[in-house]
Amino acid sequence: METVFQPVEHLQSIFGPAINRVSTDHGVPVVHVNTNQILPITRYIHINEEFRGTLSLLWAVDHRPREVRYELWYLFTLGDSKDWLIVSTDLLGDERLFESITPKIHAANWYEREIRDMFGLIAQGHPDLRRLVRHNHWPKGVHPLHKNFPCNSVLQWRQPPGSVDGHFIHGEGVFEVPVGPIHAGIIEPGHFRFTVAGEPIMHLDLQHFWKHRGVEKLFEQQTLSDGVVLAERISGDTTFGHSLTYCQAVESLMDIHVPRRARYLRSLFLELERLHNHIGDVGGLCNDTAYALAHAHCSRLKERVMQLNDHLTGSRFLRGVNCVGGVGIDPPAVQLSDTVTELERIEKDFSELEQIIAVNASLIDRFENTGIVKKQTAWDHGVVGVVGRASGIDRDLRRDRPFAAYDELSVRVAGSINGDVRSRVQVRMAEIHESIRLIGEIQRTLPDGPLKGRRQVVPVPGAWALSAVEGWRGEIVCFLMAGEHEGIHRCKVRDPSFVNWPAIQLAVIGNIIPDFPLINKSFSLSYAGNDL
Amino acid sequence: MFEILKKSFKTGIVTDQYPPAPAGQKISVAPTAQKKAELFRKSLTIREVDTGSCNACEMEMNALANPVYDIERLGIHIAASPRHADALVVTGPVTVNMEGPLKDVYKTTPNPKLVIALGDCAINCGIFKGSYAVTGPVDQHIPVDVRIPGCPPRPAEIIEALTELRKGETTFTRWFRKFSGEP
Repeated sequence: METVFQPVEHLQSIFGPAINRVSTDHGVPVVHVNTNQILPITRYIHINEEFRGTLSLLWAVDHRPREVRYELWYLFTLGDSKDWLIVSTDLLGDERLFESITPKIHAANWYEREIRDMFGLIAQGHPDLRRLVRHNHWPKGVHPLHKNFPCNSVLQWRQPPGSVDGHFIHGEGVFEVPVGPIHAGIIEPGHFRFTVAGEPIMHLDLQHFWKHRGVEKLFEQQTLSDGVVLAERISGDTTFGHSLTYCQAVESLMDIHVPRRARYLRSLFLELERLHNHIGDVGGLCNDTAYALAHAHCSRLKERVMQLNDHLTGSRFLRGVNCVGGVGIDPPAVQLSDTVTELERIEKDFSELEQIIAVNASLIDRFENTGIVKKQTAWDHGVVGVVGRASGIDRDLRRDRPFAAYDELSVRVAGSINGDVRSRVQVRMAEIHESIRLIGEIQRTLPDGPLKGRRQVVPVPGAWALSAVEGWRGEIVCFLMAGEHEGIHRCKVRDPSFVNWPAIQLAVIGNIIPDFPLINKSFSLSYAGNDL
Repeated sequence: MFEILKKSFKTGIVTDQYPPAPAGQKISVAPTAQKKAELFRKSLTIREVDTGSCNACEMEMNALANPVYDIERLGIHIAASPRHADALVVTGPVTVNMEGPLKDVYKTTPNPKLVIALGDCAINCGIFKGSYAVTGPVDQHIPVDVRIPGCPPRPAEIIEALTELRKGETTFTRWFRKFSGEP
């Protein structure tokens, strides 16, 4: 336990008077500090050699009606130990201003803009305070996550919807290429504005949140145990990852012990989800280089995995599998061994395909040195998941903060250092093999026992829990605060897309527009999970 | 090259090898929609518009193009622009931010056109009903001809609904029926 408290003591020795109090909840140390000291403290955590904390999540909580205050929470993942450290600060009464940390910690950029849009709290000194979630046609003064905001009033606007503003570069020979929000393929809406001079991209301006459905506010109208259905629909391709993150948060609030068999099954389904998405992405990347053959084979294999999901659980997206306390589905042993046999066949099939892909010179030519994210850039912006691992950020929650049954399974974390499209493909391919190996291991060692744990406590209003899962895209984080009558006071969900989208803006610089689909696909980010 | 040929021969033909849509959930298409689709019986070009779904519906739409379902064999194509489309497939509840683009897309699609609402969210907002950022189901903004329920509907169900849509009578069959004295 001492290792957990060491960073806190270190902070106390340096910022003594600025720290109001220190508490620990579910093993995560929380340091409450004065509002005016938030910048020096977070900056110290970010750059100090011993901490080297990356900002994993930044969110606000409106404590009304119980208390008249806002609270800001800064979650850091420390460099070497991968432990969590939370810094929090209060904005009392009607105080609306706080100091921005974005100039020192780039990863806070979108979080602070989001907080401004959703709560009306303004980060002073933020370099780019354009609207993020609220598009320009939203009326002034609408802050949906305010507790006073009526949840069922549909927004009325004054301007015609769809107008956006961007950061532009002007000059001779410089022109703009706007794309979206409705794209040419079957993908989700988002608006991209490329500024180019000649061929290379000078600047990319992202305008997202077209699909903002108010998920976080919808959560506040659910009870803790009913929220799973909504969590499954945050991002359809990460159905299981999101529902698992949510369930884990509720379980730690209610102090439920999840039985061993349920934990193993959760790992199994999570790996199945990773598998079909990764195979689909490898195919999609080949398609973006006009290599239709590999795409056809990959989409065929993906379809096989999805039919396997359907066969196992009755849902191609693994919906309705997770429930608070465990899992709702218990596949018989025969079905599981059939699954493993089928997956071994799929792996053999995929390995043959890999050999075909590996010798294709035109493919390698497009992949190599395209869309590079350097390690330093990735670290500065807190990039997570496959993209981070391809850039040399050695972080994988399955190994670093084991959840489900990963504390008993040995996960081999794939990684690369080049940070280009090829590295990301390689990481994906390695993870496909690793997932199939893990599923085999789970099937062999699956213990018997109950599927659901019982609840121990009724969470008091204001109790909170934090949970994180390594989804196929990367770290999914969920913060859950209980409200009255087992309701939800605040649910903050962060899909890995939210942190990785800004990194695309840096990855494309110097590349040509025809390579953008390739870079975008190699990141493979969700719009729905980002927009919420 | 040899490897590619070997792989192709080993794989064989996978088209049409999928489990059929569950029998209980047969999707009925209104005769008025069938009549409207008369022009598109042999070739239907679709443009997919996402107005706020959770992206599962898009994944299933993408799956339609894979070698297993291969909807091109049924004469259904997916266009990159609404100006090339006969039908719009709309997924998801219409969010505050997507309402404008949806109306624009509808305007730019040439007449005659069909609108297909795919998935529960597009039909009745699904789980996102009652949110401040959701302005309503698709038919509140543009006229909808066909509704394909499901969360998300399986590709087999989508294919079935699209086949059902194009089963309606043509001028020729109507004429033939009239003169052959069939009821």
